[in-house]
Amino acid sequence: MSVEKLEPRLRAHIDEERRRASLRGIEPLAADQTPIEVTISHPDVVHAPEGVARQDRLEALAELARRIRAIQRPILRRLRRLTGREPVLIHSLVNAVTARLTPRQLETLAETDEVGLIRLEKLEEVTCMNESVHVIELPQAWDELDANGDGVAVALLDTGADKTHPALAGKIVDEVSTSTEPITVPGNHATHTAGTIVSNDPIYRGVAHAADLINIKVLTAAGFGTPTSVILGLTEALLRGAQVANLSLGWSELLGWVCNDADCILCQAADNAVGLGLNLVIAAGNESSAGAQPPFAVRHPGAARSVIAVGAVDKAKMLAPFSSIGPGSGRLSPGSGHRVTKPDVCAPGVDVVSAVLGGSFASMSGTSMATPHVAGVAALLLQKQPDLTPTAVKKILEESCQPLPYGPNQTGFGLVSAYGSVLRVTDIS
Amino acid sequence: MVERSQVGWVETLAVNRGRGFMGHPKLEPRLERELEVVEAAGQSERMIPVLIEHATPATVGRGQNRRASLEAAERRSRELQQGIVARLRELNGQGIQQLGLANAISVSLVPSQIRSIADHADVKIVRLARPEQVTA
Repeated sequence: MSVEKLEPRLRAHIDEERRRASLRGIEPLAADQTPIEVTISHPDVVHAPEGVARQDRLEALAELARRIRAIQRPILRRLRRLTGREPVLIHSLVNAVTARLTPRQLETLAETDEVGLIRLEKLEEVTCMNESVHVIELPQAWDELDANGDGVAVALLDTGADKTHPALAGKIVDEVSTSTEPITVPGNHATHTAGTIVSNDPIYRGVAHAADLINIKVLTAAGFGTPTSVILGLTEALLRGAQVANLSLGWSELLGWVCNDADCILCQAADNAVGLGLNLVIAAGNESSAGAQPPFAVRHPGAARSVIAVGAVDKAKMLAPFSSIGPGSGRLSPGSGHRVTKPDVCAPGVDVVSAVLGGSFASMSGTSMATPHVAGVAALLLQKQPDLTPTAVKKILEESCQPLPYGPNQTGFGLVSAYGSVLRVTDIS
Repeated sequence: MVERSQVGWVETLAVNRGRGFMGHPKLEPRLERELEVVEAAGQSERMIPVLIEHATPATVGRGQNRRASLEAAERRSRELQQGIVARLRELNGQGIQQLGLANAISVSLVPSQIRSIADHADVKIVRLARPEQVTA
């Protein structure tokens, strides 16, 4: 077997394509007919001569290309036989060829001695904010229902958002740090999640772009924090009048956090904050693994009963492979062996493009990125009906979800629909 | 007396510990490992940040003024925490910080003091409170 000659990312891509085909009821073999662009490295590395004078560079490059072409003759012949096509690119600076092959052809090719490694060559698929908003049916909510979060205060408990970012200009109305760093030290993570909620950039527009942001720095710029800094951050959110709070963070049982029944201090503080009227939207975590026994993969305080725990899907509405699978640690009843279903809902969290430090935009993945989509939709609901209780907001979000082909402990009620949920609280007469 | 909920905690700790009921039932397993490492290195006077959870959970009144409810929860937690805080003062715990939204106390103690406070009847669990990377 030479399967190890397929780069792990490429192997994962092939497996995922087959899985998707199977989920859609397509014969898995059909997935094997779709060509994938790859770069095939020859096992022999070809080095350019050293110390070539500038005026001799072109000639040295041509010589290098000739040497590479001579070595590549067998694989080029094989590729033409296999695919019936010319390769996309025959490299001249490295001993490699870029070509389009089906998974079956790749696996055949990987068996040969002419191949060192085959890498996936596709452009990274990114879910720009201007794409993920469509996934959650947001443009209709903006345009038809005039929902934009106006007048709603959203607290962001994170690494500290960069208020100098043009997309966040004028959005941060209040700020405080409970972390070991001052509020003046922003983090990439918070800037990204803030952008997803309130960015006023014309392309990468935030879900609730007219909402106000309360910037509560509970983690260092590198993402480090303590349960105390988060609990103090929740208290600050309550005291500063936040209606929604986004927590793209959590402590994992898989890394040693202990919680018996969604009753640890983080869950306790979260449930209390919800009891005081704060809508808490919290990342489920990126630990993926599931099990009926502890340790559970859904992080804390996302496992708290009353909060909205968010899992991640990609823009094709497929479950992200990293998204933490439930159940949560909370028992259905005292002493019960059955646990509460988590996550509650899902949103786009794969390669989401939003604001980052330095005034630009970049792609990030994680349930951290899915969570602010849902926090934004909660803000839209509260714009329409400010008196909705957190229980009502959670129920509306859940009942309006777009169904997904997964179990409740994988994607909860499904994919959040901004239009569907806002429509429920909008008087359209 | 061990209540049912406490039995649950002991079970959970045992599962997380992965080695039965050997350790202190009220020390988070990773804190216990930390104590073992510190003591094995002869650093028994090293201060370790911990978070002490009270056995009684904090509860807040619903439907009231938010600030008033928070203040009331804080008052209740402080009353409940009196015994633990007095013991922490005796132990000369550093940086005592009482939380109200969750019934817990943040403090730094040396390993022997951590074991001692874990024996207090009002303590549910003592956790390691070193900063961790928790972004998701």
